[in-house]
Amino acid sequence: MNEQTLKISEAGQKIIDSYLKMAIGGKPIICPYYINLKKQRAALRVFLGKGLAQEIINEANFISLKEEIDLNKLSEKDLYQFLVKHNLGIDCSGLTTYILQAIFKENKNINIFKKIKIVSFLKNPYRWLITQLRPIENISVRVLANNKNSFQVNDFQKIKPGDMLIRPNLRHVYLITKIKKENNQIKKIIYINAPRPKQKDYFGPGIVQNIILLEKSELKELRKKMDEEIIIRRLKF
Amino acid sequence: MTNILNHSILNSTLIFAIFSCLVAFIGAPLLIRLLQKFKVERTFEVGSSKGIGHRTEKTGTPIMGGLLIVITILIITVVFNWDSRFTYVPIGIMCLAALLGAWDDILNVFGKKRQVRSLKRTFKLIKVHKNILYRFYLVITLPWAIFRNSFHIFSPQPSRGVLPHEKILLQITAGAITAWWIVFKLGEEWLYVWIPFNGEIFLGYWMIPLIIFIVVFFANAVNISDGLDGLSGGALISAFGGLAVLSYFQGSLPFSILNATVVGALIAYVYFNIKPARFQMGDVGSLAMGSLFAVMMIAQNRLMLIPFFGFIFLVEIFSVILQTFWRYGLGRRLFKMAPLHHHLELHGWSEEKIVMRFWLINSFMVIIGLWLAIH
Repeated sequence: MNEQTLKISEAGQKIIDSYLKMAIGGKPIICPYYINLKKQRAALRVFLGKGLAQEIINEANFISLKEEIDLNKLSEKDLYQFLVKHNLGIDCSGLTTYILQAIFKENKNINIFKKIKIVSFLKNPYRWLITQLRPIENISVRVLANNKNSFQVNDFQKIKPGDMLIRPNLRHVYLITKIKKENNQIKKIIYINAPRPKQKDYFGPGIVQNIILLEKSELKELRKKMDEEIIIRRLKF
Repeated sequence: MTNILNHSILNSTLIFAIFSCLVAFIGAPLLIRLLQKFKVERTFEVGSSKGIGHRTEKTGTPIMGGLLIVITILIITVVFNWDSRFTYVPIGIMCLAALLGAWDDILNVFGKKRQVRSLKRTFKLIKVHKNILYRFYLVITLPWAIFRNSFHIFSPQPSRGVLPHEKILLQITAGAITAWWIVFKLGEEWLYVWIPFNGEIFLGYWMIPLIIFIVVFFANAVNISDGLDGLSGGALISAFGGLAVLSYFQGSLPFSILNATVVGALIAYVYFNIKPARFQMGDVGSLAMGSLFAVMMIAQNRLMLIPFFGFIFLVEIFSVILQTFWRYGLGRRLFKMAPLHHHLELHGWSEEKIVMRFWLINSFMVIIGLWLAIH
């Protein structure tokens, strides 16, 4: 049997690990989910659901100094709730973009923040300037799924780590991080995402990595197992 | 340079430095008691620097210690060194800035929290207010509202004390008075700016906005630097010490005495201000000293040496400017916290280490400045 494992680059994996094991208060904490639903502007990106893991850690330490809270005395659950309470977390597009940026930087030396088209200068010069200064805050699932930035992968057997699984309503994105093939048939897919908590006051699991085992190796089967009508897209660059 | 061997200037300069230091030493315990009696003391609410180092230990330390410097300089200059051509405007500017700082300090301790109406709310009121005249008034005063709000980014809201836009307006007034004095009273030679190795360039009336900018900029730079015990006081000693040497080189007796008086008062102030501080400078001292420093640099026609004599203050204020741009423009922090001394504290440097290194750096830069001054 011919087995093959494809995975994202080391730099991409490092970004994932940094979000899954954030060292806060001497404990490894999973990064919570946070999305800027209030459409706040001009704030630090770390408070807009677009911060790097290290920025979230720094900000948590900084807040604990101001509020005189000893993070070392908090349990893992309390630390997680501390982050949620202070709007420290990451949204799905932020997570995906940072991982893709690391992958493209390592593999092709491409800075995707400069490549991704958000708004044209001619259409809205002011917004264009803002997107140049703050690219990550302006990259949403809609932007990632735009035909200018990505294309749809129709042949399921040709998907690879770094491809995005996007909801048709463009509200959520998953990123494939690992694929296991047997005889050139996809049998296992590992993806990462930052899912939104479903209930109010429920803190959610934060960033999660899921494994999907496939028998028929078909997109239909993947959709059924994920219970989502996803489409697969890949960045153009 | 021709007066380098003028012993009478040197003698007077040193006498005034000693005299001012002694006067300030005698006055300091009295001022500390007064400030304690009237409870003009540091309070820490939830502020950005709360939690760094040993900030809570500073709670209850008297502020407005800068009064010691300002009053000493004022009395000695008015009594012994009052020169209508040279000293009255620098002292006037210092007093104006001190008054602004004192007002700010007092409001910070005893005042109520104030908040500027946001632009968003102003626009909403323009749309929905039932009184048409009031809506018209809001439209007319919209530029003023924009001006007020543009300074919000430098100060948390609501806050006690003088609001940033009020502060900047008064500082601009102080700068304008300085500009008027330099440009219209001191004579045409002050419209030239000295450049090391190159002589002078004629700036003409461009001196007016330049002077206003420098005065406002340095008043705030010293104010920002006054965040650790002894930091701004020590750096000011080297800055004014350099200015005293410079005025001695230039053969200017009134300026030489004035700078020496400042140095003497600062030495006494820093003696009581080093960690653990018996009192803190407060805005009354920092704004006054910052303004006076800028005025003296301009009046001694060594504007180009400001980056050397006030190096630490420039570094501190630029750290705040850069942090503000990074924060609002790029959405991230450049420093862990601004000004730079807070960043270094968060990096684990002790307060004493930062203060002494900053003193040394500023002293070194003053030496470079003095070397440039003789070329």
